[in-house]
Amino acid sequence: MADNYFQVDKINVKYGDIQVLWDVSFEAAKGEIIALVGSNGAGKSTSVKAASGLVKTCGGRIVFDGQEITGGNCRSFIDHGIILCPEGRQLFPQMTVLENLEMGACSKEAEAKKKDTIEKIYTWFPKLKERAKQMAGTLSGGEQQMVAFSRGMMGLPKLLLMDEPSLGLAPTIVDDIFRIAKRVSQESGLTIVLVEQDVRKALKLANRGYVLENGVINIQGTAQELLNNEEVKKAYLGI
Amino acid sequence: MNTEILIQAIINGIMVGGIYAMIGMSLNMIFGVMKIVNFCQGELLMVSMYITYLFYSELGMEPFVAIPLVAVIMFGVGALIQSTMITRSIKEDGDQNVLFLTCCLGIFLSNTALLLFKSDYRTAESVFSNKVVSLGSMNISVPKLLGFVALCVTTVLIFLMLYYTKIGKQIRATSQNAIGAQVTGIRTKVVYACTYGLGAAIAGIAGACLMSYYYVYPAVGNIYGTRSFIVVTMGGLGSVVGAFFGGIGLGIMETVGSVIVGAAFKDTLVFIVFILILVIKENLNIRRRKG
Repeated sequence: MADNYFQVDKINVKYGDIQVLWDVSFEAAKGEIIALVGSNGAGKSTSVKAASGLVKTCGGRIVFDGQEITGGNCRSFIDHGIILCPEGRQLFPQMTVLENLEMGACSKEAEAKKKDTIEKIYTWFPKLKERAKQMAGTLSGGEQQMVAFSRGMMGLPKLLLMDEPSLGLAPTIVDDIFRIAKRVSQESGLTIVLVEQDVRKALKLANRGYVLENGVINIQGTAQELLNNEEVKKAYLGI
Repeated sequence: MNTEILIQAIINGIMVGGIYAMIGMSLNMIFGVMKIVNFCQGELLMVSMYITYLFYSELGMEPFVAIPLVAVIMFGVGALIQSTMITRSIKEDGDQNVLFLTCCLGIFLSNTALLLFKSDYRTAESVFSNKVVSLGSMNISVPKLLGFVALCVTTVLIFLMLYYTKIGKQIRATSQNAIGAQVTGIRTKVVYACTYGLGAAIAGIAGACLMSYYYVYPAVGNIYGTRSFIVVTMGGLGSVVGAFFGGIGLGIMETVGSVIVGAAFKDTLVFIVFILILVIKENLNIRRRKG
């Protein structure tokens, strides 16, 4: 079981009068990769939005590295080292790839190490170096996802939340990004929370997983346990 | 018609258009970033004209010297309006609240001006007022020329700010993708307050320039508020460059129009052209979507 490096404890989220998350809890150890899986509208995206300060929680606690950070906004979460790669990439289309990356360096430390981080990113994705001066809006979907992931990494996160990185992309590109995410996690102890509809892919990458259904966590366990779970097999793996 | 008169009219149009361009730009800046249509832009201009007037009447300050002061004050006023009122009135599911709010704010401002200054027309004499430079047979009014120079300088400064400063890049980023801005740690509330402040400051610069050759009265915002909507419709809503050329275009249309159809009908002409543009533009859009 995970130590409580990152702990989301019984959070509830409402959009107006409609409650979409009910006592959702998940946790991750330092350097661990966990996956939140489930079908459309199950509350996966909302879970990571809440875990990154983008949407407000009502009730419940979020604890990171021994500090309670419940109730903060996106910026205060970033200051703690929690960064979200949002669903749909959310790049700045009329800015160049390089400018997009630079916008990701938010903290003083990230700003100071900007050049080194960019060099590192170019070794992961040589394509981005070629496209550095190109407007982000003119890139292909896969390249845009590389920029989104890299823009997140520019902030030197301790915890990276990735929301549906595979959405609408060719499988090989997704594999590339996952491979790099895993390597960074192993090398630098980056903790990753991954939200995915592609359950098989997500559980191949993650150490542990949580299955969300209708805003509630129903099943949890190690990736292997979930892959062998009869319910998961039937509902999400099509076996 | 005499070509000399026509050229003179075009030059005058460009000069007058400078003020329209500035108001259009300020409106577009606010719309481009916050996606709200600011219905009190004309009244912000009126307020800055009164501030310029007060600097003149109380301290004897030259309107053109007052430009930076008025701009700074208006920036503060704008940032305050945004952070105390507009940000609270924005709802997720529509912008009618903001529309009503800015509309009411405009009425409030012009009536407060009426209360404080009565409906008298007030002027601020500039050392340049009534001065004219002659180029061959053409005459250019000096205050209008200076106003046009102020427009060009302002435009260049805005571009430099948007492309080379941190806050400028944050403003661009927020206008292109507000969620992307939040997840990269941009304090969008600060960006919005700065943007509205900048919009008000540009109106402030326009107001100070205008004061050197025009007069201020509580309802003066109406004229320029309406014009600003024509400018952004011609130049494209949200485009700062478009507003620049839209404003100059409108200025030329007015002055050349008054030569052709007479001063009494120039507004009619302007609005007829405005309606035509709306209809034609929309038809072209529909055709483009079909094709």
